Amino acid sequence: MIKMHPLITIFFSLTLFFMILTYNHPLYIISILFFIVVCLILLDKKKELIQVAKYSIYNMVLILIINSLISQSGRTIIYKSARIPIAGKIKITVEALAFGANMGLKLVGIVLIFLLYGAMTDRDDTFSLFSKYAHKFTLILSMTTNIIHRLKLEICRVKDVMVLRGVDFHQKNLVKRVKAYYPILKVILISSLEGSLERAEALYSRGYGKGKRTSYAQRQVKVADYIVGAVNLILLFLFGYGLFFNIGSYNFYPVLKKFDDRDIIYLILIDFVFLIILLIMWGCRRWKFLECRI
Amino acid sequence: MNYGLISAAVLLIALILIFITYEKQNTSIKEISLVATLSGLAGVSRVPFAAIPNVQPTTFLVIISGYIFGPKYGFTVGIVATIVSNSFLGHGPWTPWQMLAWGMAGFSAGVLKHILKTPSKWILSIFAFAWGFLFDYIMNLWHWLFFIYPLNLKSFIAVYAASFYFDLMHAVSNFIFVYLFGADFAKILQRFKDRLSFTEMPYEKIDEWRDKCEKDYCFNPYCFNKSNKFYFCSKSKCNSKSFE
Repeated sequence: MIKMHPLITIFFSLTLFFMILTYNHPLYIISILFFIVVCLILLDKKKELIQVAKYSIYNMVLILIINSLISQSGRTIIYKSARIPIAGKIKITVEALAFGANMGLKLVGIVLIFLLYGAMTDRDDTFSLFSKYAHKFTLILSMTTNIIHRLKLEICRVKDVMVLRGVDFHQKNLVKRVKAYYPILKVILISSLEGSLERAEALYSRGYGKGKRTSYAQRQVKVADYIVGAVNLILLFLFGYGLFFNIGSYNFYPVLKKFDDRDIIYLILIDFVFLIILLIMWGCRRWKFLECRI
Repeated sequence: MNYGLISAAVLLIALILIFITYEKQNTSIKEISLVATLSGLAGVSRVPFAAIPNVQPTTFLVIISGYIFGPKYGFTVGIVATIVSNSFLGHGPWTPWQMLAWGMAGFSAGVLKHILKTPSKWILSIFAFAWGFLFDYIMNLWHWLFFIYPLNLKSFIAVYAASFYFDLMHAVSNFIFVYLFGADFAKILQRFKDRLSFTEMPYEKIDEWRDKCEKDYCFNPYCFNKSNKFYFCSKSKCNSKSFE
């Protein structure tokens, strides 16, 4: 599976992120969402895609409900309630529902961008990129990740010792069960903090921070990275141009209007740029030699 | 005006600036290691409670870390714990806002220690309770700014009212965690804080330091025995005539 350079992917994800945030036009949002979904399918991330979709549906429904209850600006009324104390009269309009659905799709799109970034890059590459410029922070992250693994082993070890000493962790009474687990927490906290000081001394004795850090491998910029970088630049140009001439905006209120032709023509241009990336991904999936060449 | 876009851009720039400042600071490896451990504990504590809606022990651990080690520490632990725990539970647009919220929780706990030197268990528990709501209010803010229209008081109240029970769960769980475990955890962390405060001395300066010591301090065993805490007593204050 093709993996991109993390820096290129960060810029590409940011472009998509700001495009979703800025555009209000439902066709634009659907188009970007469709592009991300196809990308994820091509990158074999169907399982994760379904998981995110499940989570997003809950939030989408929430946005839809709040917007339709709050927004009273629309004119096409579906339902109008009697006067309710404090809230007043509530009317649900088609415009508010459409706006809520559009915002829900935006949320799904933003969540999927994070998934797309993870699918397009290798975690180690991202890590080495950041360690070059923010080595303290990446050291903290790598130590933290390492500690989590150690914690799991440590919990099992302490639990075994306590079972041998007669502690029952399967009591029906919740308070007693919490009391049984509490000493484990304390032991884990003390031992992990103790371990952290030992690790620090080990690092210090090996001369951490005394000179420039050694780098054993470097991620080369490949042809695919150049192509995606160039595509990103074109997207940025189109995005900036559209922003300047107010293309891609759509007013849901007071009444839903017909889509503007200029917006649709501009969307076709953006979709054409998206298509280049999709074709590269599809090509790499279909022909192994293409993946090796680029 | 797209307030969601502006808030995202401002938050992104602020987080980048915070990282640059942190990188430029002279942080010892012991501090880095301790931050990593506390963040690991705070991050991993979120995972077993993920099934219960909005019960987040991370807030408790971040608050205790900030309270003991100070605002800067608390902020860093909050940020790193978010990144690590979201690696397991899923990154999303909420990650930067969670970083900000937990970072601020740790920071404010450090500030609380500066204002009230020894707050009671109740005050700290109420502080954690308040942060249960504040955390979710910060999280609701991006939701409101990004996805709700029109941005007015009515929509603001509706968004915050919709999450009230979730916020309450967070606040109550924070209160319980701090009330039950706060004192013990604070004691343990305080002990490690004391162990952390050491002075580095490059070996090139040892001779210089020895000369200074011989000039300013006496090495009288009588003085050494009398003082339980210090190896040397100041020459100017030394009462030991036998040495003179």
